[in-house]
Amino acid sequence: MTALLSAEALKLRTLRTTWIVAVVAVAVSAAIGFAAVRITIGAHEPLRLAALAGTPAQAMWFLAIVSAVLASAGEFQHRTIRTTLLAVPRRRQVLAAKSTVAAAYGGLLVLLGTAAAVAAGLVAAAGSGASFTQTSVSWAHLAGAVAVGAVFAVLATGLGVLTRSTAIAIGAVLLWRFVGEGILPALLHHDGVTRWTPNGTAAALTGIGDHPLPPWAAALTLAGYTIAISAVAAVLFRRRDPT
Amino acid sequence: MPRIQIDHLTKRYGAVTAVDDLSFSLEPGSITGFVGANGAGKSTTLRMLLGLTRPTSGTATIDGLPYPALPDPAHAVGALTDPDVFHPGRTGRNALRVLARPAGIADRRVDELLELVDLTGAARRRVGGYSTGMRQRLGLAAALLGDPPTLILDEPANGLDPIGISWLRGLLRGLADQGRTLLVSSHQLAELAQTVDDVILIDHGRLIARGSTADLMAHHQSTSLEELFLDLVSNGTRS
Repeated sequence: MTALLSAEALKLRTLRTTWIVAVVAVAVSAAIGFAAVRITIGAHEPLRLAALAGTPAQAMWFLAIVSAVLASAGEFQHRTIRTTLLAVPRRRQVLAAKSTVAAAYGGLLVLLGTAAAVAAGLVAAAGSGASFTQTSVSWAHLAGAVAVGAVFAVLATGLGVLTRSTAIAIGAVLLWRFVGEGILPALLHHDGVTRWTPNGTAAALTGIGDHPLPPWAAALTLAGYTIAISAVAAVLFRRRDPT
Repeated sequence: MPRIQIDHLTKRYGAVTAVDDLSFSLEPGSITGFVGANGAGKSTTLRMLLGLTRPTSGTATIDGLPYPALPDPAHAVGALTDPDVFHPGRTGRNALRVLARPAGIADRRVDELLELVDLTGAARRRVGGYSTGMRQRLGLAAALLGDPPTLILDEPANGLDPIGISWLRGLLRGLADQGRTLLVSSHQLAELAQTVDDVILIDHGRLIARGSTADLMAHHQSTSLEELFLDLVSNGTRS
């Protein structure tokens, strides 16, 4: 399994998109952190370091999902899945290795983004002569954001293997995030349902949103979605032959 | 034990039977041409042998095991399925490195093979800029990574120019002379005729002839593999 993980990590490292995503992550996060501080100063509100650190999380989660989909569905699209399966015919091991490496990269993106947002936010504050009234950082929420990045990447790897198409997988994620989660409360006549969605659980783990689930319940729920998708992906990956 | 054993192998796609109750085995140390028209079932058979397609019924084994059960596939079998199995954004060298890694094959071996298939100069260029022939040669290098005793090559001559085909013949002959077992498919018979020891002819997924090239041609009074093939296919006979 070590050799397999090393092979999947090498696949990621040897593609330019991986590095482009990392650069985009830093640039986007810096812009978010900078803008967040300027907006806070403009609104004459207190500057809080913990809030600044959390600003790029959503964007980084999305990049973690995109990277994981490119690495999983991308193998079907470029037909590298054939050589991958010739090298490692045990398909569940391939899925496990891919998920693990995607998780590591997803978590790393959140860390990079957080560092970039904080650095840019500090620069923005210094430039305006403002100072932070609260400099404590919530390590639990930071750990939550990193973990959510990793778990979303695992979910996205499963989705990529299920759909075998980068466009369909990313389209499905966007549709779910911007339409599905929005209409779900109306469809179910139950406002509290958004606490249980993937995004709702992620919010609970990072301390954003109103009336979130307790962290343990959010973690369990999110783990449940991920295990379910990964399990279906594993079964179908074994059953369906690559084209 | 035969290196490759195909036993009552059948694959149906809905109403279409791509491979129909096919059986044959290959003993070590020869080049066998796997010959048939386009759509005869060659690729489907090879893909079943490689664990990429699941048979409807029957078995296909290498050294007595189905491909997915081989403990160390890269060192047991080398395979070429088609030239378009490399990520266009990866360099040729990295494309091989990612396949070498799971089998614990060192980068030094990757460089040796790039040299063998004459891609050293293009090793650090992205595969997206390669010609079909270059991708085909990269695929051959990938097949040889683990120095395997058995090679399964699906249409290795596709995309190669006459010089490339002549080079390929020499390469295949050399590999067989080292005692390896080669199963090489082709729909272009002239390419294979001078290289193979034995032929397996299939049509509509069924075995129509099997034997040494010389014997079969003598038996059917054919002057070329092409004539033999056309003769057998038009008669639809089994021999």
